[in-house]
Formats: sequence, structure tokens, C-alpha cells
Amino acid sequence: MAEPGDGSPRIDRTERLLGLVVVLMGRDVPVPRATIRADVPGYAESPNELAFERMFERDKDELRSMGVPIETVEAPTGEVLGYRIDPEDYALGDLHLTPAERSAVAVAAQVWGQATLAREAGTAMRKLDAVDDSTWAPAGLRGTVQLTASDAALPVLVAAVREHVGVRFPYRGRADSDPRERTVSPWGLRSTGRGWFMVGFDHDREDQRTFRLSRITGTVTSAADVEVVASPDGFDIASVSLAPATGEPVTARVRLEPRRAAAVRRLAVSTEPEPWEASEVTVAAGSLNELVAVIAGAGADAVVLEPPTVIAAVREALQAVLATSDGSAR
Amino acid sequence: MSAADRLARLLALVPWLEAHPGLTMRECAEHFGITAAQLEADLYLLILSGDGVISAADLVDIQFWADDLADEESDARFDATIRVVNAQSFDRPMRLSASEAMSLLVALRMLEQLPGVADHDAISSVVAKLEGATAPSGVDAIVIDVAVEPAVRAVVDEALVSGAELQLRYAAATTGEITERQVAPYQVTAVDGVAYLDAFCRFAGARRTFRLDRVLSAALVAAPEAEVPDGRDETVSLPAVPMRASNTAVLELDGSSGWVAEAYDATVIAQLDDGGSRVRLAMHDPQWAVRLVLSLGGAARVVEPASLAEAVADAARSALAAYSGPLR
Repeated sequence: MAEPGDGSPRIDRTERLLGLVVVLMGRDVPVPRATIRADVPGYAESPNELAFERMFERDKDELRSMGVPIETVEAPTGEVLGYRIDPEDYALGDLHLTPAERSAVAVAAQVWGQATLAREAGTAMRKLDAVDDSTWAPAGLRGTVQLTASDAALPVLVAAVREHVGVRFPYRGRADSDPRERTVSPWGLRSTGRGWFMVGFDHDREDQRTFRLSRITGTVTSAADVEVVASPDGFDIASVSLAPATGEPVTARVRLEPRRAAAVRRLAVSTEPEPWEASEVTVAAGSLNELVAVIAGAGADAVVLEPPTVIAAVREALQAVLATSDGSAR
Repeated sequence: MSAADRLARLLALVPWLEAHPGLTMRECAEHFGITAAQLEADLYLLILSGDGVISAADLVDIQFWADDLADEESDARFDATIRVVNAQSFDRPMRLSASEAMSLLVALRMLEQLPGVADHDAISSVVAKLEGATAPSGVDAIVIDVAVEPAVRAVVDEALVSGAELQLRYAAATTGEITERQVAPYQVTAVDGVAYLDAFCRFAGARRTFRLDRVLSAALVAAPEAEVPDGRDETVSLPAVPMRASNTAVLELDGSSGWVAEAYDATVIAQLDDGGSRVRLAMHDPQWAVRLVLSLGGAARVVEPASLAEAVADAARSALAAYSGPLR
């Protein structure tokens, strides 16, 4: 497994990384570079100082990116005295989980099945299982939960969202006859009953856009050259709506057919009588568009009583539907 | 597998072996999802790290030798028991990586929305503990949205635990019609963003599957005398997601309504000169399609089938009939 330029065909990289961790772990005195070069298998064979430095820097970065807390100890003058790993920073402490908590974690780890984060869930469980060797059985369940997320793009996008790096991918948007390359700062991923979506900043459109993962037509690559645009304050992927919402919040009084128009009743803000039973409810939505869409969608099951603005908007919407469905041009 | 991935396994191996003494190499390999030969190579790497360069006093010591020398060359050596003699400072696993923490936290937050799958107080407390121990980043940015009302979740949860029955107010997918039914719940099944309640429906007199996001309200009721068939241990076959549509509709969307194609995963057939698009949409039920077109307020025109266009026009006319007087 030795790589070109390592100068150490005999020692594989895993062994060298392990040796470095062993040499640095729990030392009271920081370990100087010269000692590291002499003691870690693989470094002694490096042909010169420069080759050693290059290998060591790369290994140190790799270990840190894995989460190994390598501390650089400096003298007050700024000179590097050496390196060490504090076992207290390194080690996972006992979380003192209750049996119910262990059961919940065990269920959570199984949720991924064969999907995107299954491997990470497995390695996480073996760590937790090593600090707390009690039973990890998912107990007393009345259900099963499964994620089948198989979109090829998901692993890369999950990492990009976590690490705040830009991504590039070919995407066949609704307005594209052929896939086009997109460059995006990913802000969040969301799975609903209708599949996975990503919301982020589209660098070509210079605005927030939503992407359906099933429309990504090729490989997602990370775009390190892109200056990532951060999500706006208060951005919450859980509340992003796919339909564009514009305008001010609005309320209306609506008359409803008994046992009909469930979608309108869901918007009820009046609680007496209970909205599911009521023949009239007060409803509220984030924008006039949204409210009109829900009320118009209920057809004759919902009739707006007030205010006049909402009545007019619903009537206009229905008139427009009638005009287009009668065969006239859109 | 990258060197870093293998190192992560090596570092996880030592504390895990210490916590589970007396296992054979074969058993341990199975747990880690590797072959016994791979495990053997891992163990040699761990104990020999350094080839004599690193002081023996600093090395991890693990014994995994076969008792009978004759077994050393055969697969029988994998039946040897592993014993950690000295774990050095590797007696505890490394902290969870950001992606490990994320895998558990995203799943726990999905479970939090569901009844019947875990103790909810335990989910909240374990989420707090994991977040405290790992300082994960980006967890909030990944959401699996099951869309179950919290009040519904709590009541269904209680029924599943106590064995009580449920009075459900349920909204039909296609018509917005609300029905009430008493059900004896068996179990909950969630696949990706959709959760179902598998139950015996006393209204239908048969086993039924209810989408939990369409349960408008739920109340606990005492089970009546009449017993329901025992079905708790049966597995249910769920409707495939997405459901296979028997029909399709063709719509023309105006330039500002392209999101409809995105939201319903419609296929774009043609781009129109005015910026709009012609799309083909799976139509599970004509009544559903009527309501969709009504809700779009003229931004979508039905191209086909003609029966859908007629149904839309009829529905719009009958809705307009409730209003009188000139429009504005």
C-alpha cells in the first residue's frame, strides 16, 4: 500500500499512521520531530529531511482530519518543541446511557440499513459499544424504520453540507432539455415523502435554489475553488417550502362542507369549535398565494367569507382555471 | 479502503476487544464485517507496530494464538480466543467523528417524529448527550421530514405501548374527505420520509395501512369486546413509494410554475416559447389531479386527458357558483 514518493516500500501507510499515534499518545513531554523521524516506522527510511517533512505534514493533516487531536507544543518564542496527543482529548468518554437511551441509539443505527450513512453508523456503534458494554438491543418496539436513500449523490452532498464546501454537478432542471453543470454552495438536505432535495446558493443564478437529487445526472464533485456563500441567518432547511412564497401572512374566514376540505382545515387557527368539525374556520397562511392555492384546491368544498381581498383572489384563481381549461390559450 | 479508514478500524478494535473478552477471531471479524484473515492482519499490525523501532513498553499487547501449534497454518487458528494483555492508552475508543455523530443524530431526529419506535424522552436525552460529546457540525442541515403531527405522534405512541385502540380522523389523499374510524394499531413502518400505521380498521372490518401524515387527529379509546385478529408479528407489505400510477396527465405550466414539475417529479416533455413547459405527470387519481390544477389558479393548463380538462372546468364552475356579484 506504499505510495510513490513515500520512499518506504516496506512500511504501509496505515502502519506509519498507527506508529505516529502510538509515539505521540499520552506523552508528558512533547515529542520533537527528530524523535518522530527516528521512532515511527516508515520515516527512518525517508531519503532526506525534506521527504520526511512532506510525509509527516501529510500524515499529521490526515490524522487531524480523522479527529485525532494532535497538539503542537510551542515555546514562548514560537519555536515548535514537539507534538503530543492528550488521551483525554482523544478518547470518547462514557456517556452513561440509560437502557432506554441505548435502545434508541441501537434503533437509530439500524435506520440507515444499506443506505448512505450505514457504514458511519456501524463504526459509531462499535465505539459506543466499547465504552459501555451493556445490551444494545432495540427493545419494546412496535415499528420498523428504514432509510433507503440510495441517491448516488447523497454521500458527497452530506459531506459538503457538513464541511461547508461548494459542489459541482450536472443537473437536468425543469427548464433544461439537456443537463447543465451547476455550481452550488449547499445549505441543507431534506428528505420528504417525495424524495431528497438540496437547498443552496446557485452560483450561476446568484440566488437560492432547490435541487431534486434524482435530477442530478452525473458525478458530484467538491468545488474547492468556489467561495462558499453561507446560508442566510435563520435559514432552516426543515421549513423551506418548494413552492415560492411571496408576500405577507394573511388570514381569512372560510365556510366548509362537512367532513371535506382537510387541507384547508389544517390551516385553521380557530380552535372552537374544533376545526375538523366546524362549518366555518379562520385560516392563516404565510402568504396570499399559499392560502389561495389551498382554498382553490378544495374547489366547492371551501368558500371564502371574508376578507374581500382573499375572496377576490380565490375567484380570480378559479376564473383563470376555467379560462385555461376551456381550451383557450394560457 | 484508505489508510485512514483502516487506522480507524484498528483504533476501534482494541477498546472493543477489551470490552468483549473471550471472543474468537471469527466472532470478532464477523462483528466488524471483515474476514478472519483481515482481522488477523489487523492484530499483527497492532502488536508489531514499529518492527522494533518503537519501544516494546509502549506497544499494545494482544494474544490471539491457537492453543495447538498444528492449527497455526490452518483455518482452525481463527477459532483462537483473543485476549488484550495491555491496551496502553488505547483502552478507550476515539471520539465519534463528525460523520459518525451525524449518522446517529440525523436518524434519532427522524425517530423523534415517529410513534412506536423508541422512548421519546430517551431520544431527547441521548441527542443531548451525543451533541455534548461530539460537537457535531451540520446536523441541523440534514433533515428527514416525516410530517407527522406531534399530537398524533404522542397519542399513537401511547396506544402502541398500552394496547388501547385509536379513534382516527383521516384525510383521504385524493378528495380531502375526512373519515373517522376506530382502529386497533399493530405497528408503525416508516420508509424514508413516509410513515404508515398498520392497524385493524373496525370501520372496514379489515387490516388497513394509514399514512400518518394524513391522520388529522387521534384519540385513545377503550378496546371494544370484539377481538381483532392478532397481526402484530406479521409484516406488512407497503405500497411502493412512489406508488405506481395507473395514468398520466399532460399539463402546460407557465414560466413561474416550474416548481410544480420539481415537486411532483414530472417529466418535462417540451419547453414552450413563452418560458413555460409541457410536463407529464403521474396521476394516481383524477380527483387528485383536479385539485392540483385548481390550486395552481390558471398557471397550469390540462392538455390531456380531455376528461381531466372537463373535470377541472366543472370543479372550477361549481366552486365559482358560491360567489356572486361582479369580480372586483
